[in-house]
Amino acid sequence: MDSLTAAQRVLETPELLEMVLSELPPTQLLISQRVNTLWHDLISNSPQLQQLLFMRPTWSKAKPFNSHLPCEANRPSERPRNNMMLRRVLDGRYPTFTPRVTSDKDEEEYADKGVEAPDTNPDDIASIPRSLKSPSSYWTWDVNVMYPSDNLPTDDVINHPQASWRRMYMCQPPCTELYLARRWCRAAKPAIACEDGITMDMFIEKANKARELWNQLFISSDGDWHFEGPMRSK
Amino acid sequence: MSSTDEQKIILVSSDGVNIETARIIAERSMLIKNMIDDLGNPGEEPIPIMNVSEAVLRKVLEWCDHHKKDAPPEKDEDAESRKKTTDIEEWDQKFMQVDQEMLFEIILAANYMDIKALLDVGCKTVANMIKGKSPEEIRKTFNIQNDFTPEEEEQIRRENEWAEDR
Repeated sequence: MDSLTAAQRVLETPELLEMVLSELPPTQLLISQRVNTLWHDLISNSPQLQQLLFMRPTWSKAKPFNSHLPCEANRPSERPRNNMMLRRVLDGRYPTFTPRVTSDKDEEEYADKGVEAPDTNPDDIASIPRSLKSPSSYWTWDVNVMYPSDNLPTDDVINHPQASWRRMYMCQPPCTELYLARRWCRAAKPAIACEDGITMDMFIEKANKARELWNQLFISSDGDWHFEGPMRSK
Repeated sequence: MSSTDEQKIILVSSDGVNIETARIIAERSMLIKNMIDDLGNPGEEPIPIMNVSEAVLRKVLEWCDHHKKDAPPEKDEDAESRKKTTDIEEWDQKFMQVDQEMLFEIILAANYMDIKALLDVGCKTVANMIKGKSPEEIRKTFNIQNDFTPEEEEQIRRENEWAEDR
């Protein structure tokens, strides 16, 4: 007979161990890396588990916006996943989402002609540019996140330079640009941008130097910087 | 000739015991389904299940019997749709209340016999045993050797300490 127990045969087969681990909540997955080298190597290398940990991007396909469809059919794509683990890092704050309709093509067209996109009035159908009615518009999601402008987190455990949250994205799919915003006004240029997705490392590095980098008019009455930005689909 | 539903077939466990069961029950296993399709003439020849002992095979067939009316598994069921059912249904929870060795034997059998839904339930059951446990408790529960150097282990602990419930 086999000298290995069934438990050993399952837990030492990477494919089966991966299936078990993929059922765990992400914080448990992080902590479980310390069980042994196989668990650690699998959790830090498996694409599926890395995606669950917000450490590897999952880009979703953009869903066309079609205003001719009834409400039930014309809906944004599946809700992104927000990284709730970051509550521990952001002192209770966490990323939230807003659905949005964008059209890359329109932006490009207007940019080419050197004109601004005309203002649209949702009550007046005729004022909506023609191209917005065509399927060149897409549902996307914006991420919204806050960070304190003072009283920055001082917890040594959280601030550990190699802390694993630094390698994480705020959401899946990751956001690629973050703009400062106040009272529904968005800054003209992104405060932070990265084509491959903004990691918490990039975010924190800038946010901790925010007072030197950004206009303090953006600080809200509750003393937070408010960021918002698109989760681009690829 | 009986209909496919009532057709009987004979399986042979790894320890050489013949077990008669209904074809519809056994075909929850894609391994058996493919074997029957390849062999033709179901019921005439006993089908050997090389890696599964009698006790485990009977347990697996008990699960297949209960789930014989379930919708057949999707051909290319991706990981996403599998994820959506995070809970284990009540009957399956009771079914999985076995000793640890049997639980892992069922997982190995489900993997070998290609019964995706049962493999899923098994993995979720093990995941539930892991939830809330520290690495030390996980090692103790499953008798896993710690093969880190103290320095390596300390580094991984520090990197993820923020995620621990403090």
